[in-house]
Amino acid sequence: MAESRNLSESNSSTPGKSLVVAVPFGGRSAEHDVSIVTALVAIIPPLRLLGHTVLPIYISKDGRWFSDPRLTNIKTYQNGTLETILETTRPLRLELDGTFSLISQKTRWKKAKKTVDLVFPALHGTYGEDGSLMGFLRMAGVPFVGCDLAASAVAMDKVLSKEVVRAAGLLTPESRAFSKVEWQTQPEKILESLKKLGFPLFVKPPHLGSSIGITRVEKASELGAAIDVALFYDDKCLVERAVANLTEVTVPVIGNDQLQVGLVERPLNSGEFFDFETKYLRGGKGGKKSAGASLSGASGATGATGTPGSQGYSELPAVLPDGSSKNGPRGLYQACELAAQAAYCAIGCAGIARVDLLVDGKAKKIYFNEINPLPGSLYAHNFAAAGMSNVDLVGRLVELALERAAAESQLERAFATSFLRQF
Amino acid sequence: MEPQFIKEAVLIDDTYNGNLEGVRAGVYFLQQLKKRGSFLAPSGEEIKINRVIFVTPGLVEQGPKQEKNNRAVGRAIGEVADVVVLMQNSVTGAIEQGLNDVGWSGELVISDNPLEFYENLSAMLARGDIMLMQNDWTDNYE
Repeated sequence: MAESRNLSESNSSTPGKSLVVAVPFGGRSAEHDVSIVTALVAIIPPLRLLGHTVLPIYISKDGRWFSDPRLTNIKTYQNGTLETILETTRPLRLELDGTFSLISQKTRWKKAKKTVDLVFPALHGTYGEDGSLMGFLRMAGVPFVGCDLAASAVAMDKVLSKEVVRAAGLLTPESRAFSKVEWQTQPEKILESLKKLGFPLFVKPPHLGSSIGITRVEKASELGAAIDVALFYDDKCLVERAVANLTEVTVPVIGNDQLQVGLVERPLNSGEFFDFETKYLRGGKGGKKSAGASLSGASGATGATGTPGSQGYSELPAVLPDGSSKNGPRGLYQACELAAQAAYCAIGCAGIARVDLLVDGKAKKIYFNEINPLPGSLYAHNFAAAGMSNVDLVGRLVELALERAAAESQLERAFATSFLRQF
Repeated sequence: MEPQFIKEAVLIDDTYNGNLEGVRAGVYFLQQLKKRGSFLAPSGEEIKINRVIFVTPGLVEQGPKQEKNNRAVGRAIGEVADVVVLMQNSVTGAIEQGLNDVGWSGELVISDNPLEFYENLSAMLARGDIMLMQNDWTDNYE
């Protein structure tokens, strides 16, 4: 364990106090495995280096909660140890007695209780990142890192988030949305409407992340199958017109009221579409191997300086089609930074989020694509490239969570009334 | 002093060095680097220096000068480091006093688990950081 503090009395940005931090990860989600990596790589080690006591909470695919020191070792998930833990360990119980406490039953008569000071969620996707966990933690009154319930729910609904940012004045690609029931009862009407959008189109399940279930459609005959894929994962479907002269970028942002932007990053992918396979399966291990290769001089796929991102190669910082970049002329690069911050604020994000933007390089227009309220591995590689280490990033997120909780505690939510006297 | 490049940061391994003059030489080297303002990455890119991070358990086998010499270590590294990481042991307090002697106001990290620190060392690094690891505290001094 480590203790971190600042020797200067005038600098109180580093709290210095050791907290008991619960880190829930895994979960009932298609992004279960991604969540394990986020927790084990980007959250738990920095928390320990900051001197905090970490309680890992693994949520199994069937929704049971477990805590065991072995759960912080990646090998546990590779060599069968996880299954042993799930079979032989009793799931956690929670005590909500004005605190948020975890009860682990060691034996029939012996139990251990740990009161949690802060929760650092690492649950991507459903029943976690979508606001489910945040709502529960709000009710329990425990501070937590990251976007709150409302922002998470909006961010994880691509249809709703588009409406919100559009109302805030940002551009989004033209689109149509419909439910599974509507598709089942009026498929011809929907297809006619979609053809009017023009091609190519992207067909998406609005509530999933990591590009799961997304299909690029070049012609009308491909629409039906793509919609069926999306509706296999979701009860709604979103169809968007593809942006022309496209450069895809992503921008991580941290902050509550005062925002700090990471670097505008451009994924370098072999295909035109940065899908789940490209993100996690083709790029993952290659990204690790290429860390040494990149630092020893090998460049990325397109000849630009490729940096191993969290999911493979990317151009970091991005050079936009107008030649603008972090240290060069500002142009589209600065516009992307501003658009990301505007989207972050419009949706009411706090802590951290990652904004994906679509840039039409010819028309010099920036379109909001989606916002991710819990970026994979916190996009720590991006902040590190911007000069902020993973440890500093996690430390800042803990501070932001505590600041928000302190502000919330000043609000009066429940008060005495005479309402019941009339009954 | 062997440099390695991790995440566009430089890690300098000087753990075989275990004396006060070695610490001062390391500090001098870092001061010169800081004056230069940047370092050349293997990719050929000139990277602007972000922070200087000094990692040390302190000096062993100093005999009656243990306290005095480690306080001198603190004073020396306080001249250049933005972040100081100390591996917790019997001389940590002396190094801290040395840092205070020169009015150092950077970030101090004290780790009681060197293995955990070294395994997760890259989590402490950002682009442009220079981390110098000096001296090793062998188990027989635990």
